[in-house]
Amino acid sequence: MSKIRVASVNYLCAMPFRVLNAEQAFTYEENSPPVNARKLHEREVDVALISSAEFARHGGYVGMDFGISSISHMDSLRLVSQCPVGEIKTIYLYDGASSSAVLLSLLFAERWRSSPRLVRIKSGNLIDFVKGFDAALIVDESLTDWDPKYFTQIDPVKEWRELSGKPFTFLVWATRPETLSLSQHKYVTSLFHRGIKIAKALVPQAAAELGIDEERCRNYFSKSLYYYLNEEMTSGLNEFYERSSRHNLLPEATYIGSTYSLLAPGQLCPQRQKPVRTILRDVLSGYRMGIQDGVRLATEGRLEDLVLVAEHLRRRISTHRTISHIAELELTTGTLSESDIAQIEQANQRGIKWLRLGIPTKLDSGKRPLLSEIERLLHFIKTKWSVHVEAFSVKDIFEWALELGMMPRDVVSRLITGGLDQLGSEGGELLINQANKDRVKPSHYVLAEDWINVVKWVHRFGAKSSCRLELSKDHTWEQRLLHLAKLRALQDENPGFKHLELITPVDPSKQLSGTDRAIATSLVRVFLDNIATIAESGFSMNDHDSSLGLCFGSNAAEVLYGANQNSFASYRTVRSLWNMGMDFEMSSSIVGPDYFTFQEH
Amino acid sequence: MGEVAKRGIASGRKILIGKDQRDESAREPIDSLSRDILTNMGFQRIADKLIAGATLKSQEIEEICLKASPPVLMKLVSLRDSRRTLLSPTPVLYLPIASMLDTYTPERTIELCSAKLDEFKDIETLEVVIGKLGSLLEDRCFLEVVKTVVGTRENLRLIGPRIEDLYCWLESSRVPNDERAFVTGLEKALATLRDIGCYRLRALHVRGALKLLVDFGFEVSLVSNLNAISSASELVRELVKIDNLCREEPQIKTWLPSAGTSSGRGRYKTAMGDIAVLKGLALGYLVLDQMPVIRASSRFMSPVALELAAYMGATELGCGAVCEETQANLQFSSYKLLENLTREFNQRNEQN
Repeated sequence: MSKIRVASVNYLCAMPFRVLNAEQAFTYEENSPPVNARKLHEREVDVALISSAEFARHGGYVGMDFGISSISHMDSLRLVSQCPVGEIKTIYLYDGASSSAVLLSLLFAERWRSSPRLVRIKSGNLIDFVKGFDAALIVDESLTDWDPKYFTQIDPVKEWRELSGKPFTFLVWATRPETLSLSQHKYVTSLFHRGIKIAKALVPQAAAELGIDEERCRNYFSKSLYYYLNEEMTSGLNEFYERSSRHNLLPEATYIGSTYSLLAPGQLCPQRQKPVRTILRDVLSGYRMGIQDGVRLATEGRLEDLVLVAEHLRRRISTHRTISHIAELELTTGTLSESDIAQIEQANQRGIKWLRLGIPTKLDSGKRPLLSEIERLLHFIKTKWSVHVEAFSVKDIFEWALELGMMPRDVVSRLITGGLDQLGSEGGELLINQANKDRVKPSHYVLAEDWINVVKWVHRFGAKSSCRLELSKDHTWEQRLLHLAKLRALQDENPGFKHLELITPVDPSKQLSGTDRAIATSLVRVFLDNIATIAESGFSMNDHDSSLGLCFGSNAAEVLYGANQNSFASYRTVRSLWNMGMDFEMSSSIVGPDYFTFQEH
Repeated sequence: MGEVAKRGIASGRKILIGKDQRDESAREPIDSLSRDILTNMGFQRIADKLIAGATLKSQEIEEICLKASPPVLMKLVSLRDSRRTLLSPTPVLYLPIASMLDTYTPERTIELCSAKLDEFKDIETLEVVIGKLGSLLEDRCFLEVVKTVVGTRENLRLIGPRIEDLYCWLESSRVPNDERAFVTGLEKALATLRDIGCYRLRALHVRGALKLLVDFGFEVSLVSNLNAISSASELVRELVKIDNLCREEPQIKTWLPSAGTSSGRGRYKTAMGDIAVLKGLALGYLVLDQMPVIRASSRFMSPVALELAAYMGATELGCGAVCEETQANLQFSSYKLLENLTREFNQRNEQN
């Protein structure tokens, strides 16, 4: 019998759960809550201690009635700032903040009527960010007294208690309904009970190891933390979910304790599921959809319902689809040749404002172009022409960083300062590492978390990027929705995605069926409520997928400008769609139909 | 499981743990969500008529044609009959009897054809296309071979050539402008085709021959070439005409829309053609409520679009090639593929 893969968190408060480490039946690991959530989502672990927010975001897990809650205060968590709470503009968060981040957003919305920006910091001292109107959410399990120098020091759990009258649950033990048998579940929960009982006895050892005052440590475990999700904790958790969904911070969710069905003996019952049409109605009402609900829409919903709702949402965003004309230029060196300049000039005269640069990864010398050369190139282009420059991929950023011994963040900073307006989306086809491991071209891809981190810095420095979803038969609906959930979360915290591109695999055997393609496009529309533009790219006369995509949820066509057959075919396709009555808005910056005529000559 | 509520036990208490709460609104002709959206888009009146089974007026059809996007069309189609199932596709085999006779003796040709037919003995009803005929209709030996081949097994249905090909042959072989000779020739050709076992000709573009085909007892499939229709009102007139024809002539069994463009090597499928045909199917389904079969033909659609055809009103996915040679010659998708698509659609509809 294979071992149960268990992931707890690497915080002091999770000490009672370490009892699982000693058991042969488990493969035990400890990570931060976001990593645990990712691993549970991507089926790398079977049972995990995840944030209560991620539990709601997924929607397909069952709780195991254990977690980490706080009734009225949390000694280790504080929001600190040098200004009054109502004046806070930015909150810097520790990287593992998940349900505490949602709690803060909720508190600011309901108690202090503001919405500060949340910025996640991977490394460095959060205290250094506390100045002016910037605050920090700090977790400190050293349990020393909080420095009184701060103007504002808030215990979010205490504030929640005052707001709702209920406890707050940060983390819950979760699993998929089909994972554990009744006997396994009983075994795990008996170990949880045992761990909680012996926690008190382990306090002196833990305090000594961490250099914490023993008395404070004892109080922390006995007065701040609660591990069993009784009725009171569950009520507090559901109150948190209900309020959060009202503010669109989380999908609608309800936590119920683990139950076993009399009709399917030995199996945990999944969370109560709402009818598929109710999911769609909630989306139309502005509620955010969870991952599991998305999977159900794809697999159980009627296609005609889904596409109709997607169409309605598309029309709400804008009455017209857009055509984006992009001048694509592949450079052979790190500088512009005379013909390159002529091409940009011609495109610019025609009103093409978007320039997509392809910079070679290796020059004739066998080396990558110098970053300084690229900076000069960008500066030259931006000074000479009024264009929006898109170039590079996350992979390029990493390779430069490696070569120059720099942080990717600094490479991004230099490129954007040089004039880069938008980072390309290559490498982000599916942000699930496990799914990318066996790709034919592994060199093309970076780890999902690395892609996300670079893009965060691009957005933070004020530039844009695009994202993409590859529609491949190799991926499950859950994987596609997990990918979209990551993009949605990124856009929430660091908005900057210009659009999402739907990519059809080149290999025909991996392409989705027509029905699944329509489902996928519509699902992207209803799930991604914070990225308005879904673009179909690479049009040509035989691109059936992209044309049908425009019928079922996409609202933008990207057409490449150029003097080759593919470009002419692209324009003819889009013009044909226009003639057929597809509601394209012809951007005023682009010449009208006479341009098409010119191209055909 | 019937109507018994599913319950479990938690913390010593019975609680309701229903996995899937049945959506009661699924039994209503239109759910409130769709009604709200269609009302918002201005299609409620038309939706109500479709649910009631009422006939749409020309003005309403034109409105749908001009304003309804593919998702709206898909929804309107589902309102007419949410429990639609696809009919089985038609297995088709191409037998190049004429060219075989160029190489083999009649006896050997019959042998080879029988052997070929034997490969598909598991298929209950098989349609056979023998290609362009023209002057071969006056070749006794050829006709005897065809009759013999057709007679080798039961449930073999012979499909004749296109009426347009017969026209071309007659025009080239008769005295020009001799209308009487043309008509006599055509009648003779149709009689011959019927005699050798043809039950239908390939889909009909030229409407002038319709009465003749009906008089000769052929089953008729009508094609509307959407490329030749330049406006919504023209399309509406076409569909209304076909609807009337269908009511008058019970031998008209099938209607199918076509699009795409022709090249020197025959038709090729375009993205525009896909969208046009999908929209055409939906309009056809909404208007031609007496037409037994609304066909989505894989000759006129890409595989991606064909997979959506059932949702857009197709009641059958047309002819499917039973072997690669047939696929190459007739440009139909494979029969297996069409069978799978049919089964998937019907299963999905049943589950929902």
